[in-house]
Formats: sequence, C-alpha cells, structure tokens
Amino acid sequence: MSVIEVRGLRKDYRRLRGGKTVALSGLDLDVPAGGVYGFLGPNGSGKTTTVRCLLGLISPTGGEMRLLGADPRSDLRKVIARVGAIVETPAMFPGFSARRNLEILARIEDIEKTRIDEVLETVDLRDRAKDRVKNYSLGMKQRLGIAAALLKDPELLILDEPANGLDPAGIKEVRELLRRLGGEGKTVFISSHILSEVRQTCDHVAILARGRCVAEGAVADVLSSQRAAGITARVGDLPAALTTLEGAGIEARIEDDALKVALPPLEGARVTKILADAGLYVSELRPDEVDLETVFLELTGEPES
Amino acid sequence: MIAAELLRFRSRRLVKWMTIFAALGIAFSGFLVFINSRAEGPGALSDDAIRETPIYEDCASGNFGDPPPGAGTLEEFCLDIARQNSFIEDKRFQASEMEGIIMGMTVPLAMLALFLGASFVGAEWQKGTMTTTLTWENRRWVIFGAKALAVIAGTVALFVLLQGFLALVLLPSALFRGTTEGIDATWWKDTAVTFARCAAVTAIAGVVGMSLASLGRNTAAALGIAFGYMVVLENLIRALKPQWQQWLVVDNVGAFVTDDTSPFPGMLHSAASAGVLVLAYSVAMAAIAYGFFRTRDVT
Repeated sequence: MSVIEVRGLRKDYRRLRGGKTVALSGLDLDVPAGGVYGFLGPNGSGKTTTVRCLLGLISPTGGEMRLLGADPRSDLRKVIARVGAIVETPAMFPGFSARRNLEILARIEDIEKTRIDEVLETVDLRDRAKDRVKNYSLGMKQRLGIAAALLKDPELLILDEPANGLDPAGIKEVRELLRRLGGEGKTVFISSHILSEVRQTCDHVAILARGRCVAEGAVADVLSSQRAAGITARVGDLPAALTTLEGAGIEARIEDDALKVALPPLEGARVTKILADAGLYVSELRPDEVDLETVFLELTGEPES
Repeated sequence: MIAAELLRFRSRRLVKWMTIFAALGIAFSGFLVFINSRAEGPGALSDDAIRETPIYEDCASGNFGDPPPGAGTLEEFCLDIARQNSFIEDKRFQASEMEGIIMGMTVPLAMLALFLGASFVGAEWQKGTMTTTLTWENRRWVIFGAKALAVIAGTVALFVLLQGFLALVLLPSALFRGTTEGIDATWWKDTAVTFARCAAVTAIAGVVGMSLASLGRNTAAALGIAFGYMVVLENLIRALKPQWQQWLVVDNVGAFVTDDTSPFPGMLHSAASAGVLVLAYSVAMAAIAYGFFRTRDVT
C-alpha cells in the first residue's frame, strides 16, 4: 500500500508580468509504507512545492494526490494527526523556549506533556529546552523542528531537507534516528538535494527534475537501471579491442588503461565473446560502480561541478 | 486550537512588556493625580476667607435683602450665598469622573489592541510559523477563528486588567485627597455600561488589526494601513465629502464610546447604531481577511 500517491500533479504560478512558472509538470509518485523514502532533486525542481501540495498549503493546478488514503484537498483533516512535517526550514516562535513552542503545538492535539519530554530527549535538546529558540544554532533549530514533527508520533513523517544546517555529528544522529523510525514501521519521506544523505539513509528514492519524476524505485534499482552503468574491461591490446567492439557496433572508449564499454553489466558475456572471437582475452571484467550522484546528474541534466 | 492560541497570546513578550509599560504609565498618572488632588473645594474654604469675598460684603451690607425664613441669621445667610458663588477651582479628584476616564483610556488601549492583534498574526507570517500551524490544523476557519477569539479574549483581559489597575491607583486619591460624591447606583450602572462599550471597542480594534495583518501577511503593513486610513483618508473624506461623515469609523467609534452623537455633525443615527455599524465594519473586515486566508497559497 502506498502512503503517498501522486498522479499527474501540476502546479503553475502566475507571474506578475504575465505568463506562468511551471513548478510541477505532471508529477507521478508512489511512496510505499514503511522505510525511508528519498525525494531527490536539484534546487527549484519542485520538491517543496510537492510537499506543500500534499500538506494542503498550496492548491495544485491539476492532478490527483492521496496522503494516507485521503485526498489532501478535501479530507486532509482525517489524516493530518497521523502526519508529522517540516516544510523548508523549521519555523518556530523565536521568542519562546523550545518547550513553550512544543507546548503550543501539543495543545492543538491535546498531547500530554510527557510526550514533549520524550521528543526533546530524542533530539537531544532536553537540557536546552528552556532556552529561547532565537539563541539556537541552525542545527538545534533543525532538531527542534524534527521534535515538533515527532510530537504527534506520526505514521508518516515528511521532512524537507532535514540535514540542513546540521554538523557531521548531527547529520549522523538524524540519519540514525530516521533509519530507526523507518525500521519501526513508520514511513519517513525526506526531500533533499544532498545525494550522500539520501544514499545513506533511504531505501527508496525518486529523482525529480523540472517538476517531473525522472526515476523512482529502490535505490539499488535506480542505480543499476541507468545508462551511466557500464562495464570496465581490461585487455592486453586496448586499441585492438576498441576497434573490435566498435566494429560490432558497441560504443566504448579507452580510459585509465582500461576499456569502458557503454553496455549494461548484464551484457558482459557478449563483450567477452566478441573480444575472445577476435583473439583478445579479457583479464578483468567488472560492472562500473555507478553512484547516485552520477545518476542524479545524468537524469536531472545538472552540470557537474 | 483556542487553548494553543491563548497560550501563545499570553506568552508573547510583546504583550508582557506592553502591559508593564502601560501599568507603569498608569501608576505614574495615579501618583500625579494624588499629588495634585487637594481639598480646596468651596466647602473647604474657611469662614474668614469667605467673609473677605466681595459677594459676602455685598450681601452683608443688605444688598441681597433679608434672609428668607429658615436661612438663619444674616451672617449665616451671606456665608452660604458667598460660599455657593465663590468660583474657586475644585482641585479635588472626583471619583465620579471615572466614567470619563474610562472613555479616555479606551483610545490608547484600542490602539494597543490594534497593534497586538496585528502583530499576533503578522509575526506568524513573518516567522513562517503559520506553515507549522497548518501542518497541525489544516482547517483554516478553525485557525482564523481561534486566533480571533484569542485576540478578543486577550485584548479584553488586558483592558479589564489595565482599567482595573487604573481604578486601583486612583482609589487613594478619591478616598484621602478627593471625593466620592455622586457615586450611587445610577453611576455604577452607567459606568458599567460605558466599561462594556469601551471593552467591546478594544476587542474590535484587536480583530481589525489581526484581519489587516492577515490580509497583508505583515504587521507593519497592517499598522500603516490602519493609521493611514484613520489619519489621512478619513480626514480627507471629512473635508471633501462631509455628507459621508456619519459613516466614518472614527466618528462612529467616538459616538458609541461616549454614547453621544452630538459632537459628530451629520450623524443621523443613534450611538447604539454607531456601535452596530462599527461591529459590522469589523466583521466585514474579518470576513474578507478570512476569505483571502482560506484561498491563498501558503508559500
């Protein structure tokens, strides 16, 4: 069962001087229940717009959505208590303490005060709970935002850039927390543009570019399905091997004393046979290790920095 | 939701500091009244001082005729006449003037309520916490209604607190250096009605401030629009279209608070109608603000 289902979601913003900006152009998404789901995309790709549509903060121009089975446009009230969320930077009242901020939110859903202590403990802010939020570092504000999202003990956690502003230790803590929550059966939906975070935290990933989903599935599947995944072969006579493969209509190039063949790893046997038939024996054949960054850049068309 | 908004209203440092400043101002005013309240009314003048007045001398020389029956001797009669006609400024604090003081205090308190109402919602938009709130309660009418009720409850509580404090600080002046003459059942009734009217105006000011801030999603814009309208636009209308004056907010608030339309030329309706009109204006403003809040994207 999908906890988030999105079909053909569109969001256009009218510009003041005429025309429109397309933030989402027919987004499709299926987020399975349980585990950590990464919603990856470059800045401006429509991640936050999607989150805002799902939470009823903005009205989509078209398309269908389901959040825990409910249409956010008409039935969000039925499920909002089961959803914890941070949209962009966690917004809290800076003049109040962390505890007072959480108390105000807790009163909306009649949540007991002991739960406030629990979530403060979870994000390691209990000792600073009486301090005013405006004196918090960005990382502490982020952790407070996560505490606020956890306050309802939600089934679905929607976090927009949860690692934003955290130091390496904080990132690790949050990563472990999110993985633990995902392991406990909750669904954690993380929107992020930080590839390493998504790779280390998520079970599933969707890659967003220019308002559309360009890849979706288990992280391993997304990695292996892309063109970037090729084969590296080591052969004694590289120029001859290159000529042979090109003669067989296979795209290849010489790089780092090896032959880079533009075929999926499953086609390794074919490469071996072609070269062997030409009297060229492969000493090493291995699939290229494609990282998420390569896939991401290829799918989103972002230039490598 | 209402409990959450009330907690937020009373937790705001702005509310606390404004209350403290207002209380300090009131305490200082009470002190000044106490200092300046002196028992120098006509009744406090000595007989010797009365005898030196020209009117006594006139009367004593028989110019006012004989004393009427029951008026005592000529001296007693003339002392009475002179005492009644001695135009000596009465510097005693009159507790019976409290009704007017309540009305006068309503002006700054209504302005304070407008400011607090505007900043209550304006700060939410500026800090982005409206987004957080909406991830907890998505029904916008509930949020708007709860905020409006919190503003009404908060501003009325502030009004009662500060007016009560004012009465308290003026009490020593009335009891020890002034007078409580004229305070009777009718006075209590009239003052209670005035108090209720002024409290209502304060609450309305808070809701208007909140509505304006909700429309502009900004405190400063709300205050700018409110004061621009009251100070500039209404005066322009007053000058250019005097026939519209009876519909102006300031005039109707004034008529309602004072329960008197006579200072407002051209006002054809009653003071009670002025109150209903002010209420209708504020309800319309809140309805427009809610309409925008309900339909606009929260980005």
